[in-house]
This record gives sequence, structure tokens and C-alpha cells, in this order.
Amino acid sequence: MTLKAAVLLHTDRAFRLFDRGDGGAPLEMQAASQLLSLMDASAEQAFGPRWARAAALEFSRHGKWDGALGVLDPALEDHPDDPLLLLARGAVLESLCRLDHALRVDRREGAWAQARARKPAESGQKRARLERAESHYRQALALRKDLLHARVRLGRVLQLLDQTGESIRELEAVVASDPALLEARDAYLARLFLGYAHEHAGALDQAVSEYERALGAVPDGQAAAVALSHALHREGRWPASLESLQRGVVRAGQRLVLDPWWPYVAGQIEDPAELFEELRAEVTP
Amino acid sequence: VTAPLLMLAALASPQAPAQPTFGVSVENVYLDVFVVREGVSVPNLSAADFEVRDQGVRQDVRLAQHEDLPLTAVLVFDASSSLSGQRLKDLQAASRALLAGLRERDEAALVGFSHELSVMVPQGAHHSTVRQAIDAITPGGATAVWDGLYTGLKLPRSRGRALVVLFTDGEDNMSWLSPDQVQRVAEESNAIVHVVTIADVPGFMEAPARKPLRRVADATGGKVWVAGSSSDLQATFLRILSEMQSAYLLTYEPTGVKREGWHRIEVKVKGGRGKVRTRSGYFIPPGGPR
Repeated sequence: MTLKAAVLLHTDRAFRLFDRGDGGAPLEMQAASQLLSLMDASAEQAFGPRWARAAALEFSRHGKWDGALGVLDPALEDHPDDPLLLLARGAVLESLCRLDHALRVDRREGAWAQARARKPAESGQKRARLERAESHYRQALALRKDLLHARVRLGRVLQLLDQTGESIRELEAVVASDPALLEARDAYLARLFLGYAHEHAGALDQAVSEYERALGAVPDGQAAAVALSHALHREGRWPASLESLQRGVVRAGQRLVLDPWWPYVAGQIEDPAELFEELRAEVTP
Repeated sequence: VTAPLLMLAALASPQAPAQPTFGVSVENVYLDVFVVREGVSVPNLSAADFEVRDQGVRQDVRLAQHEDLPLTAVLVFDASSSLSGQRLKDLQAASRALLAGLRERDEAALVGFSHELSVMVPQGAHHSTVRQAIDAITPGGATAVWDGLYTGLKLPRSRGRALVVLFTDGEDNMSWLSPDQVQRVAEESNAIVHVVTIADVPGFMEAPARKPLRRVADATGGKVWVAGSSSDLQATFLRILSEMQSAYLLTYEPTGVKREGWHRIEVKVKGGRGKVRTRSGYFIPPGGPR
């Protein structure tokens, strides 16, 4: 109990220091990790993977991908068969492909010239990351085939790797799942990605239908409203396109449910605040 | 910059349609054409000085008066967390200058975007409402540049010349739509897209991720304006308006060309009297916009 509390205390301090841009944050995370290693095996087994997941998700939320991998990698060495750790690592790699460059070039003087020189290497690196993410999602599903969010992400990654047929099969498997097990978030994302696949194949009617179904799952979803608007625009149905767009933006600032696309891009497979709360509750007398 | 406004006989009607419509036989294309020689606008040209080809077919053009068509200025603002402090203050001041430069009959609208899109002020509101909304912007969140620009492009109704001014200081990290998708929508629209950005570091606009912004602006006859510092922004906005007002507004009823699909436009000034900048074409989807 005391060790768990100490781990959480140092973790909290680390993230507070990160928020302030204080260089002492890594030392706090190191202290948390060292304390974790002092736990006996069964306590660590019950606590370690969840702590690592929460910390990695919190790092991701701040765009600190190195920090996220720095927590996940040792955790996966100790717990290679933890499906949620595999899912979290895949999500970090996927986000890195989309966000890393954007974050980096905004902050480094003269980064453009370097970026040009790096381009072929980066393209290869991006593909390699996506392939590793794919592998993580497949492993996670082999361990827990009901992990539908891993299947959604597998479908998307396959799409980005131009394996469209296989991607559609995975995404259709998600939407065909038992409705009692299918979260609205996963239904929304799967429909959104299916719409993307159809739209890029030129099947606009099918794309429109999938985007509408995505909005059926999450009516406040902005990305699906924009996607639907765009597909309708391409069909030449401009008034309907404008109507869809207006539906998507009218809820700005008042959404009851966040668009699942936003945390998806940021690699948030779960809410780290909720995970930390859960862990804190276990050490609170 | 140019706007091919595919408009109808309803042009002069106070009950203008909310979206472009092609249900009648008369359709006019309107083009904003900038003619520059040695960096200075060339004045006093007449319709006879221009040669306009639509899909390679020469068209009979006339010169319309700017006063014939009101201007709709859609300001698309990056309200993400990277835009804060002095940058935001300068942008707010610059946009006030832009609004002050609009005529009473011109319309303005405001789209804000972070990861979330918001039509902060719809077209038709008084300019002062737009000004107040800009002053109230609170930055925060991620950046969906392309989705924001798409929203700005879809917003203007067709009864005027549409000017979409995108201000962004960062790269997209949250859009659903791709740059190519938005570029095509821009080409199909009647809007001229200008991009205003701040160059904090050398070679800012040369970053690969920013090239699509330049492509969209070029395709619509607009420009990317890189302010050397954020304090230049006010002058930049005023320059955009002044340039818009100095453009030649050419109009023609397309003849000898197929109605649907992409129409490539070429505009020349006879006698090499200046360099022309205008949009590269316009698009009518199959069946026409419905």
C-alpha cells in the first residue's frame, strides 16, 4: 500500500513539474519506477501495468511520446502478454506518425531544411511505426479477441498501410459485434473509417451511409459531420452538404460527448485521469 | 484574385439563393483578375484588353463593376493553443482593420477552429458583431486547419464575391479532411483564399506540411502572406482588401464548352501589358450543384 502510494505521489509530482516545464520531472518519474521495482511480484503484477498505462496515456495527452514509450517499454518487458499495454503502445506509435512531425517543426528553428533532408527516411520510419502498431494490435487481439478498440485501430492502421480489403473486413467485424459489447466510441470510429474506405474507392453512396451511421452512434461527432458534408458535396448535393456541416459545428462548446476522433488522434485509448483515480482509490484508506 | 461566381439571372435579385444553383439557362462566370507590372497594379484596362479562354475556347468577356457585387469576407481563425499572447492581439488588431475596410454592403462572417469548429458569426451579421467575436477569442486545443478552411469555404452564399482569409500559425494535427480534399472544394467554390501566417523562423512556408496551403491559395487566385512579424499583420490584411478592390472583375457566359466538370481558365492581357493572376479554373459537378 505504502509503495503504491509513493509511486503515485512521485508520478503526480512529475506531471505537475512537466506542466510547469520544470526539468526535475524525469527524476520524479525515475523515482516512481524504482519504487515500483521494489514491490513484490504479485503486487507489481496487479498495479504495475495499470500504472504504466495511465502514465503513458498522460504523457501522450501532453504530446510527450518519448515519455509514453519510456514507461510502456519496460512495462511490456515485464508484462509482454498484457493486451492493454500492447494496445496503448500501438496507439502511441500511431499518434507519433501523425503528430510528431507537426509538433517538432513548430518548435525548432530551421527545422524545415532538416525535414526536407529527412523526408525519405521519415516516410520509411512512418511505415515501420504503423507496421509495429499493427503487430501490437494483432497481439492484443490474440490475447483478448473482445478488445474491440484494438480491432478498430487495426482496421485504421491497415487502411493507412493501403491494405484496404483487410481493413474493411476488420472494421466490418467491429460493427457486426454484439451490440451489448460495442461501445458507441468504437462503433463511431469503425463507421467513420469504413466511410473513408468507401469514399476513397469512389463509392460515395456507401460512404454517405457509413458516415450517417457514425452520427447515429455519436450524434455530436464533428469529424463524421464534416466527412458526411464532404461526401455529399462530392455527390453534388450541396444543400445537404451544408446542412450536415452546420449540424456538426452548431454544437461547438456544448458537446455532451467529445468527438471520439479527437482522443483517437491523440492516442487516448482511455482517460488517464480516470485510471489514476482508480489507482488512487486503492491506496486511500 | 478571382472568383468564378457561377451565378444566375438572380444576380440582382434581393432574394439571392443560399447556394449556387444551375437550374436556369443563364450562367455567368465571374473572375477577379489582378494585373501587375513591376509590382504595381496596372490601371485603366478595358474588357477588350483581356483574352479569356475556358477549356481553350475563347470567351466573350465584359468588365463588371465591383459595385455590382458585394464582397463576402469569411475570416477563418486558428484559435488553437499555439495562438496566444501578442500574436493573438496583433491578429485581432489586423482583423479589425480588415473589417473597417469593408463597405457597408459587404458581408462578413467568422469561423473559428481549434480541434473544434465553430461558426462564431454567420454571414449577414453586422460587422461590429464580427469584431466583438474576434476580440472574445480564447485560444486553446489542437489544430484542424483543413476542416476549418473547409467550413469557411462552404459558408459564403453565392450572391457576392467571396474572400476567405485563413489565419494560421501552425500545422494541422486534427483535421478529418485532407489538404487535397479541401483544395478540390476550394477550386469548386467561388471563393478566393488568402492565407495569412506568421513566420517566426526562416523558411517557415517551405516546410513540406505547409505547401498545401500555398497550393490552395494559388488555385483560387489568392496568395500566402507571410508577415515577417506579427506586427505586420495589420498592413497585410489591408493589402489583401486593397488588392481585392483593385482587381478587374471580368464576366462571361461560357459558350462552346461542356457544362459539367473541370473548366480550365486562361487569362491574358493583350500586348504584354502586365502579368495576370487569377484562379486556375472552376468545377461543376455532374448534374450541377443541387
